[in-house]
Amino acid sequence: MRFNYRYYGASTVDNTASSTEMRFAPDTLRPPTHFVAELNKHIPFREAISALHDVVVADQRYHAPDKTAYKAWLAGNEEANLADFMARRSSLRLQLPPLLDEMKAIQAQKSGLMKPFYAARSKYYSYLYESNRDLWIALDPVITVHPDRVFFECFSQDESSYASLSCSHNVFDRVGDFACGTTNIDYSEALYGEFQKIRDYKRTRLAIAPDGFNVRTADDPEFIEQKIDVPDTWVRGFLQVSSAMTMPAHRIDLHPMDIHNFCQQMRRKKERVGPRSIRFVLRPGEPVRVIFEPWNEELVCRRSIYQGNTAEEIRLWGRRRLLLLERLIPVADSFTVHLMGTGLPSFWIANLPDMQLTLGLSGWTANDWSRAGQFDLLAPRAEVDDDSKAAVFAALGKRWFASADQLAADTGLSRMVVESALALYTQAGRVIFDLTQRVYRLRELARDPLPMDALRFSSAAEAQASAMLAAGALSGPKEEALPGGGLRLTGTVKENRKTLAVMLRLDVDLRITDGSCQCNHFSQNRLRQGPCAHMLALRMAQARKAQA
Amino acid sequence: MKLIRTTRLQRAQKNDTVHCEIDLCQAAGSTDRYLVNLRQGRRGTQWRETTRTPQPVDLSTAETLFALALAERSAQGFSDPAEPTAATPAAVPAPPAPPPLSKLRRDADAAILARLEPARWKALGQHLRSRTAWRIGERRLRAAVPVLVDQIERGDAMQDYCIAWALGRCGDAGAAVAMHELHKRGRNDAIQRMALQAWLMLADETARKVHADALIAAWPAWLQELWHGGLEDGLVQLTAADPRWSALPMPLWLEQLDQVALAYPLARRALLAQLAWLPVQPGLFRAQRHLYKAAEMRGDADLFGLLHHRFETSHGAANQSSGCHVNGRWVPFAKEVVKPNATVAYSVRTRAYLLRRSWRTLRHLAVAGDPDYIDLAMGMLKAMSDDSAGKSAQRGGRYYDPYSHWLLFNRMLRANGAWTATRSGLSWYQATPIAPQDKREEAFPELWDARPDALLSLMQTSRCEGVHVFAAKALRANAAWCAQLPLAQLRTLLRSPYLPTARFAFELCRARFAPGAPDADWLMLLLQTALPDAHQYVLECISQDPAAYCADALLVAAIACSPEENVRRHGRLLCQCALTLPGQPGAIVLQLLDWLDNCGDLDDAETRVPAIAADLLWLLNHPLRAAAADAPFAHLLHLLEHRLSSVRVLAADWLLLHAQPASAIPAHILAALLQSSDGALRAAGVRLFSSLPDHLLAGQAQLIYAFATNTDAGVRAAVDPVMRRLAPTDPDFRAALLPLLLDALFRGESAEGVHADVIGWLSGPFMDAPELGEPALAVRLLSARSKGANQMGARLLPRHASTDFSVTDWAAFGRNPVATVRQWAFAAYGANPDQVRAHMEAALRIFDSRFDDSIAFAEGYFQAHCSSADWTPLLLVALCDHLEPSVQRFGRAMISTHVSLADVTDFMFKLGQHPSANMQLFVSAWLESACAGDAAKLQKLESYFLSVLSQVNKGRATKVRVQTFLHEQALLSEDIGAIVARIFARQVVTVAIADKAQYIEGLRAIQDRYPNLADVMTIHPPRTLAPARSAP
Repeated sequence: MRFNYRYYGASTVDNTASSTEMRFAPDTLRPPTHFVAELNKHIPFREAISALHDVVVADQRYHAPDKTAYKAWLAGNEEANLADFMARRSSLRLQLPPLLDEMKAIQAQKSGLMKPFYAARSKYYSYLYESNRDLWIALDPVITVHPDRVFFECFSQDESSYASLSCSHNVFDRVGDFACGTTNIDYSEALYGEFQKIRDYKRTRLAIAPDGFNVRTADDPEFIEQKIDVPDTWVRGFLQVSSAMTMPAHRIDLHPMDIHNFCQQMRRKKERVGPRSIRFVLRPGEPVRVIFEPWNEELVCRRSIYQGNTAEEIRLWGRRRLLLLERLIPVADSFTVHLMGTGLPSFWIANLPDMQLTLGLSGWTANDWSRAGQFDLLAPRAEVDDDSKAAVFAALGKRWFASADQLAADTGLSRMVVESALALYTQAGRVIFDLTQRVYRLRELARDPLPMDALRFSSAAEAQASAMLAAGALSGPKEEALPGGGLRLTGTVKENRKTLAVMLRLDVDLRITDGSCQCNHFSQNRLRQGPCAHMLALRMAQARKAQA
Repeated sequence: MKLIRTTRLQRAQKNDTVHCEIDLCQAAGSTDRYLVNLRQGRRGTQWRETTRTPQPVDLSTAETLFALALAERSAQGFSDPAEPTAATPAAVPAPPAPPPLSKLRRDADAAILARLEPARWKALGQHLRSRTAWRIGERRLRAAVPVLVDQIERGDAMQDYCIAWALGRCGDAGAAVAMHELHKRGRNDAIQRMALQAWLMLADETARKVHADALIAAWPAWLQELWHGGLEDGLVQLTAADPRWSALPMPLWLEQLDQVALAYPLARRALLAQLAWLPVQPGLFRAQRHLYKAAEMRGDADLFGLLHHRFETSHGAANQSSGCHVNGRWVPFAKEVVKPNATVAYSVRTRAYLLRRSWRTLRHLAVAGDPDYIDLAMGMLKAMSDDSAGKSAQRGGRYYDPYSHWLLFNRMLRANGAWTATRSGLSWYQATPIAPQDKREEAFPELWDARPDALLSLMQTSRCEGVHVFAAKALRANAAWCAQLPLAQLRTLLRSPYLPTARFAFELCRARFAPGAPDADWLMLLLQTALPDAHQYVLECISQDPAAYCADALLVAAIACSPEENVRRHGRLLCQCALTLPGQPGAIVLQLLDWLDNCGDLDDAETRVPAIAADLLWLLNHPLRAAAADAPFAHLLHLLEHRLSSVRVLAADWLLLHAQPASAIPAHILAALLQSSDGALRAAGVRLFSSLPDHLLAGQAQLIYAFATNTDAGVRAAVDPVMRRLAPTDPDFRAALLPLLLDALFRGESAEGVHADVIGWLSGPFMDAPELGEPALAVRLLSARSKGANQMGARLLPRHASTDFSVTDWAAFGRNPVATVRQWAFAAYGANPDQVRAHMEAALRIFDSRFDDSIAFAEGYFQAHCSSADWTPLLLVALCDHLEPSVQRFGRAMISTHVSLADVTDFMFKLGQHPSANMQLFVSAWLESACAGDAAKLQKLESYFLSVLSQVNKGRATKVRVQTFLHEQALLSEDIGAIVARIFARQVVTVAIADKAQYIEGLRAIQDRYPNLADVMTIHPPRTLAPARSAP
């Protein structure tokens, strides 16, 4: 998906020894939004916005080295080189040792001679790397100004972490005239540097400047156009995480030192085998217990008593993302955690003075096919007619933020309908559920409505699998625990008068590791292009059963 | 206008033919005024028209000019196709007479004839009888005719078929009636067809015509009309485009056309033209097969060769041994293929059979020593064309060349070479990389030796390089015959686009000219060959006597325009020599113009002409300068419309040399050049534009600016002279252009080199402009994002004194990416320490630099020049707050040096907020002196303590220091104890064992010391567990 922005100038920072003035350039293509104020909670704000930055640049995916050029060379030369080598192997073996010795000496000499050059070259490359650091940021953060709060939202590069910093107006002094709305701001690495300089003895002024909206001519050279190509999966991830916020969750309150202890656990040990999950053991009235696998080390959060009614055990993956909260430990009063269920997104809210930073973690770090079909967070949860939807949206538009009850009163619709309509808007990225205030807020993620049809499923196979499940084509799904942990799923799928036997194997982290199907797609591609629709249908059925 | 005389000439090139027409005509409206016009071009393209008479001239002059033009074109390799060439057989030495039949052959013939004796014949089986009849036909044994006629319809169908074939070939007209009868009542189609062919061969001219006319009479009316029109083109084109064509029953029509062709040559040409492209496929193949067999029987070399070549270059259908699908049903192949409208034909096997059959026919002739072999082989070889040849390849250790998959080619021409055939004989390869061989490789070389005229004919007509290689090798072996070849014949061979033939002819020529030097005419001819040896020879001749050869303008022009670079280099020498001859440079220039006119016809003109044009420009610029200035102006303008852009560029550059001023060029031509999409041409246009008078150019600042910032480097270079000429002298021009050029620097560089060029002009011809002396401009340039602007600013900066700028500017310069600017800033700092000290905050901004040299300079500078009085706490803290760790280090060092103890507390509070671990460590060292024993101060530092103690798995030293400090402080007073207890109570739940112990220890001490302090810690007494088993 392509996002187009037009900023009037770049975001600038005017920094002196005694004051800092930050002017954010908002996207002028959006409805005018502006906000000017001075900061009064300097240090917590600094730490929170730094954590937000860490989320923006976070990328915990595995990046394999690029070997295409070498492979291409090898394809062209391997045969000839090998033949040549085989032909002269015995004589070459004798020649090799003295040559190697000689080469060693020459290379040592060479590396001595070239050392200054290599050092200078690497310095030059790091200069280039640093000067293009803005390219590290996938998509500029979104700022939302509401009558009671200001929000900063962002999503990580690896499509797995969401963060939202919600500041009450109490965080600011001398709030001037402001216009509510949502906009993107021009964000850069330099800006992050300036955030680090926030101190409470320095006057710090934040301004989302309204300049650009007053300029009439569109070809003013000050305008900076940005066209950012964002993968569909990225947008999909963002929507999935925000959609998950509206789901019912288990809530626990943690002491900052509990988070410290989690981080400590992960900083001191590196897992080399799976499962790489955190297991929350929740028993009513007892302290929350957290087990780190595969070491099975248990941390007891003695100051956090679980208030729920039923005992639960919830597993989460991608736990290293919790290190993003590290900076907030000294400034946070407490942390509130919302757990949706095993493998589902979780939300970690750091409660700072008059501020909340919400870290949303998707159920996985790597967004590859091994996780495909696990959850369908963008599935419509209830049918709502278009008029009701429009009425709810208009009512929310008047208030900017409201609870479902308030909107039900405003529109005269039932609470159920209002909630369903709001869930649909949340999935479409137009409304967000504020976990901390328990209200829905108007927040248009993009200037133009997002193409929900294209975003609903990550692949054609997934759409097909969903249709198969809906049509009841899957029969006799069976689950069987494997000796080393993990699951083996079997079932049959009926398609075009044919019955296909399908098998899937999940590892201890519930990732698809292997499978088979009698369909044409599988016999041609095996798992090279990911699982086929039949396998996905089986996986979805299992996931739904587990969630139920 | 009345046409008096016209000559149509042609020049064959490898891929095409170039046509030229020269007209001599009377000018309209006057009796004694005449014109000579030329038209030249390729078929299907626009021909170029030129004239040799800008003004009408009298008849005798016109005749001379006509003859000159004709001679020129002849020298350039054109010839009149209608004129009988020297290649007529009469001019060629007669080949040696064919040897009489050998005894072996005579014995073999007698043995075959002996089989016809009644007793022997009776004893022969049916198969042998048919075979005997066939062999008689092959050997054309006329003595057997009466017996064969007698045997008609006395054996099986095959015997009749073979007898018809034999009688046709034997050529005894007496058997014609018998054949006519057999044609009518033959037992099957095959016999009837063969009998008809035999009859046609035996019948006289009149009978054939009657038969043809009868066939024609049955044709559709429109076809008859076309036929009677007698236009060969019409008949041939009919096959290409006319929709009525597809309505004809094609196989029948082809066979009829073949029969008609025996009486009318027109039909034969039409037939050959059609067969050359008709695909070999079901529906047509049957007729093609019949024609192939008829041609074989008649010994019709052209038709036989053509059809064989069509078979060889058409893929056979996949092998359908058992059956095939027809309309969705599986039908046995044998059943389907015999149907009149069969959908299958010409399988891979059929193709292989036919290819082998052709070779068998030829081989039988050759083995029998039959001279017909050569004629038939000629037909085969002439049909071969490089257009349908394959490609060289290497697969599995086998090396193939373009002819490797032509069975007949390899059998005939490579039988004695180092070639290996695959089992099927369809592909021939070598096991090592293919290298040209000197020895002859063809089969039956003695037969070829007997027919050198045939080899010569192949050299003249073949379109296949492999055939030329063979012919040249074979003919070279016949030295005596070659020595007699007339020069005119060699001339045509030299012009051959095929190197082997050209080389053969050159070797012969070389031998003829051995002692003396050839005349210019021959050199021209040798130049036109593609032989490097021939060119070398020409160059040697010329270097021996350049003065003599330079008198021939045509030769000089041909050398100057040669595609070979080393040949062109000699053109320079010749042009220098030509300067001594009056009028000769002018003549050469005219020839060059003529060459440029027509160079678009050359093969690969797009790639070859640019290099030639570049050399021509050198000639025009140096030896031919004077003549180039007087060249016909209109002709040059005409060249600007040439097809090739390199010629247009040359023409534009030539116009620059011309005596006529640039202002004489029509505005629309100049405009078209300037708007051209080709960069080189646009640059040439700009060069022309730049040569306009200064007063015209001065008013075109916008246009010049557009050229100066063009993405094409050539265009920018072309406008350079204008800049250098006008800018220093014309203040208005300078004033108009300067802001535009500066603006270009501020914008992103549209192509590499634009900024460098603009900077070159600004610091060259524009350097004296007063606007460039403004300090504000330098600041703007240096603070711009564009690299070009920075570079320009760097050039302007040394013109200013440091006092022209503020300290803020110096600091900005100290951060500039251009090293010289930073150096300048360092000098400014060094020269004005007082000013720096007065504006410390601005001056310290130099630390924001991303360059090590700036930081190193700044550290040294501030250390040396600033005293404690200059360092206010605000500045020191700002330095420590810097993002760069090295600057923070420097800041800490400055604090340690310059801060008095009185200020320490303030520093603690400020630096305590720093997020970096190093700064936290730094602060921890000052805790004791800054806030020991003061509860209020400790309270203020609580967030610092929390952030230090909350570090995850790092900052051990700081943590220990803080823990110890707090522990000690807690014991000083109850207020402090309460603060520390709060901090410790928050941290005590850590899983870090060492920390946890410290906190518990601290809390216990606090509780011991201040028992009244509430909620410090609750100690649960350990639960006593009942022993699992009671003691005995």
